[in-house]
Amino acid sequence: MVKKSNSKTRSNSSGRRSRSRTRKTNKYLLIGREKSVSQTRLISKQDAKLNGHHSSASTHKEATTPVEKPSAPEFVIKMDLISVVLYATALVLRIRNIQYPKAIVFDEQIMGSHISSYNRREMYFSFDPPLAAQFYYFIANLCGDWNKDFEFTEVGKLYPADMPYVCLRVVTVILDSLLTPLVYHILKTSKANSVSAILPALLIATDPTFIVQSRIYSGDSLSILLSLVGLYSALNFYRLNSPNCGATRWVLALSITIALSLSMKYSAVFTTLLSFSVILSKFWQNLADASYTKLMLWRQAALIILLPTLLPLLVYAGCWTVHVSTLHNAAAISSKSTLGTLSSAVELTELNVAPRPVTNGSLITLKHLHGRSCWLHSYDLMYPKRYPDGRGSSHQQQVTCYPFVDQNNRWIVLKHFTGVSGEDTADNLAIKHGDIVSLLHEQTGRLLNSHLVAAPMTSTKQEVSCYVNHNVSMDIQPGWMIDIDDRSEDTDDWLGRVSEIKLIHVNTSAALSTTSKQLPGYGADQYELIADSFIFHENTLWVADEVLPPSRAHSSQISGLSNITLLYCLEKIYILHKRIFVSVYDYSEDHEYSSSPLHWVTGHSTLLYWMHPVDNAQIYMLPNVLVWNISAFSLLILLAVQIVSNIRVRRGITPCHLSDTTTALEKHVAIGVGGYSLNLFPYFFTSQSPLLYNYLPALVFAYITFGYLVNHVTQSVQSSRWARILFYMILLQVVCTSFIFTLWISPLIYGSTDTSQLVLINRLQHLFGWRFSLNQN
Amino acid sequence: METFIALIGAISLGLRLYQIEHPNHVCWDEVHFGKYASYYINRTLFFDVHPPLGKIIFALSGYMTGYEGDFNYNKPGDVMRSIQYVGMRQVSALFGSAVVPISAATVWELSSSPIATILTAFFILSDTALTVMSRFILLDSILLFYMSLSCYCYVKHTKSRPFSSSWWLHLCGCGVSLACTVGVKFVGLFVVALIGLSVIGDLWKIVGNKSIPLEQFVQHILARIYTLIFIPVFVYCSIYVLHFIALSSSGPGDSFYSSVFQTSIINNPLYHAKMPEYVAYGSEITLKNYRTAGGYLHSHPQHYPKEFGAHMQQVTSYSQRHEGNHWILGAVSKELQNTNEHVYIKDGDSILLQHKQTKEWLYSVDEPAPLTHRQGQVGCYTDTSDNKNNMFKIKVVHGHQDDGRISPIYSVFQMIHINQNCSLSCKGRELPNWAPGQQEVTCNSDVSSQPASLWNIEEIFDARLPIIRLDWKHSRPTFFSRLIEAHLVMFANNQNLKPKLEEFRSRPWMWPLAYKGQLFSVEPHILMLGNPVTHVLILLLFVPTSYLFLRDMIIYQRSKAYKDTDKSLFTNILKVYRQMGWLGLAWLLHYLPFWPMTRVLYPHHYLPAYVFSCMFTGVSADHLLKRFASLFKPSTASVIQYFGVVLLCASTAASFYILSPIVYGYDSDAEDNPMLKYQVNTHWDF
Repeated sequence: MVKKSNSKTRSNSSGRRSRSRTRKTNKYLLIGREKSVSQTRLISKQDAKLNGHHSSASTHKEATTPVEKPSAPEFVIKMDLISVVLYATALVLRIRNIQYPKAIVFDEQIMGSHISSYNRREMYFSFDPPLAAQFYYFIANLCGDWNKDFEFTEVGKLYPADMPYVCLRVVTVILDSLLTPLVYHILKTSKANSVSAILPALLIATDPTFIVQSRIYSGDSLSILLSLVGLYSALNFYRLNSPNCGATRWVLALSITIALSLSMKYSAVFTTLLSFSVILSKFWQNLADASYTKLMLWRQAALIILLPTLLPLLVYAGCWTVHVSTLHNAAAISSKSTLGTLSSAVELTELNVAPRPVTNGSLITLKHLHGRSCWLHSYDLMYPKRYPDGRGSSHQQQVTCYPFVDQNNRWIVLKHFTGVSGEDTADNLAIKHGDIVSLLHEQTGRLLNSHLVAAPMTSTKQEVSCYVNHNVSMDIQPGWMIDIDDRSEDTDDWLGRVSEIKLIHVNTSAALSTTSKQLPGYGADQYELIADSFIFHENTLWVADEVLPPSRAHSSQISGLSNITLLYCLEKIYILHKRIFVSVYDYSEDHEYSSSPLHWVTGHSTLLYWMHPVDNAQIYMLPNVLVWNISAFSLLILLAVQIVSNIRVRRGITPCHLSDTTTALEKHVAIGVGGYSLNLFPYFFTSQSPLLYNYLPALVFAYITFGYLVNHVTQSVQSSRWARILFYMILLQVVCTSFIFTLWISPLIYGSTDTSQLVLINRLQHLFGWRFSLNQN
Repeated sequence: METFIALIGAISLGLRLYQIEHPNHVCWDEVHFGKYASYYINRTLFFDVHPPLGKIIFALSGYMTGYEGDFNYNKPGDVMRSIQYVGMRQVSALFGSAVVPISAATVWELSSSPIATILTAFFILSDTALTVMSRFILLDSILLFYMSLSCYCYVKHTKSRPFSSSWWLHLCGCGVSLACTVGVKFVGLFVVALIGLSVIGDLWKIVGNKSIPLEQFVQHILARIYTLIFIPVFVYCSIYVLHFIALSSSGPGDSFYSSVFQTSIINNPLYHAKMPEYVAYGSEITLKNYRTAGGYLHSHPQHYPKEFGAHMQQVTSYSQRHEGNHWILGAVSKELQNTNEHVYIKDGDSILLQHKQTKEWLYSVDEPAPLTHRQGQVGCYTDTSDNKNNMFKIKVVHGHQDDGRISPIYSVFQMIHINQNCSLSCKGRELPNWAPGQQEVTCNSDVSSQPASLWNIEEIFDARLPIIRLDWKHSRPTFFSRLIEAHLVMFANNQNLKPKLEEFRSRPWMWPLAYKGQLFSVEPHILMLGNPVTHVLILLLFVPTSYLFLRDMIIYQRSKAYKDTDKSLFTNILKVYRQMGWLGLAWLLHYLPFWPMTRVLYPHHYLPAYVFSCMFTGVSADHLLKRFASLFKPSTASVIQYFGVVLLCASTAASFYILSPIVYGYDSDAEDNPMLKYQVNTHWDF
C-alpha cells in the first residue's frame, strides 16, 4: 500500500511538471498542448481514484486484478512529450504550402458550394447531414468575407482574391493533426506498449492519403477524428475497474462525439457501432461481477443506453432543424449543376414545399394526381394521319402523359384577361378559380388545344393536341378554365403543389384526363392523354408540381412570402431524409474515379484531387503501397494468431483460465479487425460508387491493428535481446520507408510545379501500375 | 408425428393442385420460364441470369407430359389453350408442396416438440404467397424445395451418430441438395452460407470435446470437405454439362457470349470458325468488345445531340447482331487503297474503319465523350482529309501469328487513335434515350490493355479470301472456360437488372409486413401476397420472444456473479435458444443481404426467409407457450397450451380460407367485389 500511495503522489507531481513543461512549447501546438494537459489531468485523477479504491477495498477479497497502472512517473512525462511530438510531426507535414493551390480542390467543391448556399440561405441537397457545412460556414464567416456569389462549378476553378479558403484549410489541418496523438492514446488505453502505440501514430502522420485529405476542407476527416475520439472514450470506459463517477464522464464524452460525428457524415456510424459494442461488452462483464449491486447496474444500464442515444438524436435533429429553417430560399436553377453529379433538378424543386402561387407567365409542370404518376407532356411529333385501326386524326402535335421528369413537361401559363388588362398588380396576375388560361408548351411554343376529334386509343374520348395550323378549317381552341377542386374558404388562388385542379376546356366543357393506355410506336409508349366530358372522375385532377415564377428576379420575394412554419420544417426534413435514404437506390451511376474496395486494400487505386489547368502540377491521393499491404497483412496475422490461441484454449493445450495476454489479444482483435471490417465491408455493397478516401477510417484501424501486432510480437521476443533489436530495426525501417515515400511523392501531395514531376509520374506508373491523367501538350 | 407430417404434405399438395389448369393464360414470369423450357426442348441457346437446373426440370417435365416447345410465351395474358402446360405447373406444385412437410420435419428433428412442428406446418401451409408461387411455372418452388431439403438433411445428420450410415447419407444428401439449390438460383448461396457457418460451429464443438482424438477430428474435417465441397461442385458442374449438351444450337442468347464461345454453338455463323484465316485491307468485318458480355462496335445514321461535342454520327456498342455493326477496313496509304490484291493486315499497321451502311469513317476528336467526360468522343464523319483523326493503329495483345497477321476471333487487339494517343474502348455505360439499349464508346487516354479497350474481329465477309476451318488451329473452348464465361456473363447482367423508374419498387422493409403483392393475372384476379395474418403473427410473437430472450440472458450472465446459483436450470432454456438462434440466423442470412442490393427486387425474394421465419416462430411460440403455461398449475397449464395452439392454427387456417380467392382467382371487376371488404391496406390491390 505504501508503494502505491507513493506512486500516486509521484504521478500527480509529474503531471504538474509536464504541464509546466509543455507550456513553454511552441504556440503552434496550442491545441495539442491543451489536449495533452487534460489527458494528464484525467489520468492522474483516475489513478488517484483507483488507488483510493484499492486501499478501501483491500479488506474484502477483491476478485478483479488491478489493472496495469500507467502510474510510473517517467511514463506520464513521456506520454505528453510523445503526443506533442506526434502532433507537431503531423502538423508540419500537413500545413506546408497550405495556401496552394489557390483553386478548388476536389470535395472543396461540394463543401464550398454548401457554404455559399448557407450564405445565400438557399436550400441545397446533399447525401450527408448538415453539421459539417454549418461548422465550416461558421468558420468561414469568422475568417473573413465569404464571396457568396462565387460559383463552385468545377474542381480546379480559381478562387477570387478575397476568398478565405486558406483559413478553412488551416483550421482543418490543425484539428485533423490531432488524429495522430489520438491513435497513440487509443493504443495506450487498450494496453499496448509505447513502441507499438507510437508506430501507427507515426504511420498515420506520414501517410500521404491522410495528408492529402487533411489539407482540404471537406468534413470527412473531421468526422473520422470525432468518431475515433468516441472510440477512445469507450475504451476508457472499458478500462474503468470499479463503479465510480468516471463512467459518466466517459459516456458523456462518447455521446458528444457520436453526436457530432454522425451529424457530419453518416459514414461515422461504423466506428460508432464499434464504440457501442465496447461499452455494451463492458456492461455485460459487469453483470457477472458481484461487486456491482443491482441498483448500480440499473443506473449504469440507463446511463449507457439513454445518454449515447438521446444526445446524438437531439444534436442530429437540432442541426437539421437549423438547416431547414435557415435555408428558406429556393435554389437558383443555374446552380443545380454545381451540386455534384448526384443531385438532379427534381430534388431541389421538391424541397420547396411551401405552396407557391401560379401566376400569369409562370412556368409549371402539371402532374397527374390520382392513379399513374405522370406529367403533361408534349414533343415535336404529330399524331399519325391515320391510326393503325384506320381512323383519322387531326395530325396535330402529340400531347401525352409522361412518367419521367423531362424538359418537355414544362408549360407556360397564360391568363386570359377579361376586358382591359389592368396593371401588373399581384392580384391581377394571380390565377384564381374560374380563370381562363392557355398553356404554352415551352419547348415547341405551341398551345394546348382540344377539339371534337377522337383520341388516339380511346375513340369515345376527345383528342388533346398542341395546335398546328394545317389550314383545314380547324380553329384553335386554347381556352381552359381552372377549376380548383379543393379550394379553401379564404383564398381561391391557384397554388403550386397544393391545389388540386381540373382543366376544363372552354369550347367543349371536357376535362383534361388520361387513360392508362400506352400509345404504340408513334407515341413512344407514352400514356394517352384525352379530354373527358365526364368531368367528375378523379382522373381529371391535376396538380402544378413545379412552379417557377415568370422571371427569376421575383423568386426571392415569392419564397419570402410563404411563411415557413414548424410543420414545413418537419416536412422538409422528412423529404430530405426520404431523398437521402430512398433515392440512394436511384443513383448508381459511376463516378469518374470510383474504385473497387478490393483495390483499396492492396493500394491499387488512386484518386485525383486537383490538376493544374495548363501544366502537369497535380494533387493525387496515392496509397503508400508497402505500408498499406503490411498493415492489411497484419490484420490477417493477428486474426490467425487469435484463432490458433482460441483453438489451443479450447483443446486444453493452454490452461483454461484466460491469461492476461489472451484476453488482451482477444480485445485487440475485436477492436482492430472489427473496426476494420465494419468500416470496409459495407462499401462492397453500396450502390453509390465509393472513392478511395472512403477507405481512410478502415485504414486507421489497419494501422491500429498493426500496432497491436507489434505489441504482441514485442512481448514474445522479449526474452532474446538480439531478436528484440532486430525487430525494432525492422520497425524503424517501416517508419522510415513511410516517411521517405511521402517525401518522394511530395510533389504529388502538395501539388507543386516541378520539372521532375513527369519523371516521378512515369516512375510511379511503372512501379505500381497506377494510372494518371496528364494534360496533353 | 410422422402421420401428421404426411397428412400436412397431402393437404398442401391438394391445395396446390386444385384447379391448377386455371387460368389457362400465361401468368407473370411464366412468360420467361415457359419460354426457357421451350428453348431447352428446341435445344437453342438462350441467355438468362439464373443457373439452369430449375429450367431443365421444367423442360424435362414439359417434354414428358407432351409439351413440344411450340408456344412462344410472348407476353403475360397469352392464352395457351391447345398446348400442354399443365404438366409443368404440376411439377412446380409437387416441389412446392413438399416444402411444407420437409420444413415441419426439420423442426421436429431439431426441437422434438410436437407443438413447434404443428405450428410451423400451419404457418407455412397457410401462406398464400407460397401457394401461389408453386402453382405456376416459376423457379421458386424448386428453389424452396432444395433449400428446405438441405436444411433437413443437415439437421438430421447432426442428430445421427458420427460416421454411421445415416450420418453419411444425410451429409451427402445435404451436399447434393445444396448444389441443386444454387443450381436453381444464386439465392441458394445464402443457404450454403448457413450450412457453412453451422459446420464451422460443429467443428468448433468437436475441437472442444477432449474425448475425441485429433485423428478423428481430421476425419471429421475430411468427411465434410468431401460431402459438402466435392460432391456439390461435382453435381453443380454436371448440371452445366447437361445445360451445354441440351443447348447445343444457336439461339437468341448467342451474342451475349464471346466469339470464342460461339465457335462451339451449332448453326452459329462462327460454328467451327469457318472463315478466312487472316484479315486483309478491304475486308468487311464486325468488331466485338473483349469485355465480359461486350457488344459490337455499331453506328447508325443518327447524330449525337447538339450538346455533346462534335456533331458527329453516333458510334455505340450494341449487343445484338445487326447490319449496322459492319465495318470495312481501309488502308491509309494510297497504293493500298487502289490495289485489287488482298494485302493482309499486320500488328502495328494503321487502318481506317468505314461504316458499311452510311459510308462514313470512324473518327475520334478531342471532345469529351457524352457520359465519361474525361475520355474522348468517338463518332463517324464523312471527311477523309489527311488530318489523321480517323487513323487507328492496331496493337495485338494476344493471339497474333508469327508474321504479325491478324486472325478473326482469336486475335485480341487494341485500336489506338494515332492523333490523340487514346484507345478505343467501351466500359458498358448505357446511353440515354437518344440511343436506347446501346452503350457508350469512348477513346480512353489510358492506353494500357484492359478488357474494356480490347477488341476482336468476329466475322469477316470477304469473297477474295479463302475460307478454312479455324478451330483446328486454335484450342477449342473447354468445358470449364465455357462454364466460367457463362457465370461471368450472368453476374455482369445480374448487376444490370436495375429497376426502371416508373415501376413500383419493392423494398425489403415491405416484405415482413406483406405490404404489397405481385399481380399474377388480371382476369381472373390472382395476387401473390403473403398471408397478412401469419406475417403479423410472426412479427407480434417476435416481441415477447426477444424480451424473454434478453431477460433470460441477463439473468444467466448475472448468475455467474454468484458462485452458488444452480446453472443446470439454464441448460434446457439455452438449448431452445440455440435452436432458435440457428433458425434466426437462417432467416437473417436470407433476408438481410437484400437490403443493400441495387438490382430490382420483388416480393417473392422474401419467400426463403419467410419459410425460416415460420420455423423460427414455430419453435419460439412453443417456448413462449410453455413458459407462459408454467406460471399456472399443471392442470391449467396444459389447457392453456392446447388453447394457444388451437387458436394460432385456427386463425392461420381461417385467414387462408378467407384469402383463398386471391390464390385461385376471382373476378375483381364485379360490382360486389368479395375481397374489397378485407382490404386493410390499399396497396394490396384487391
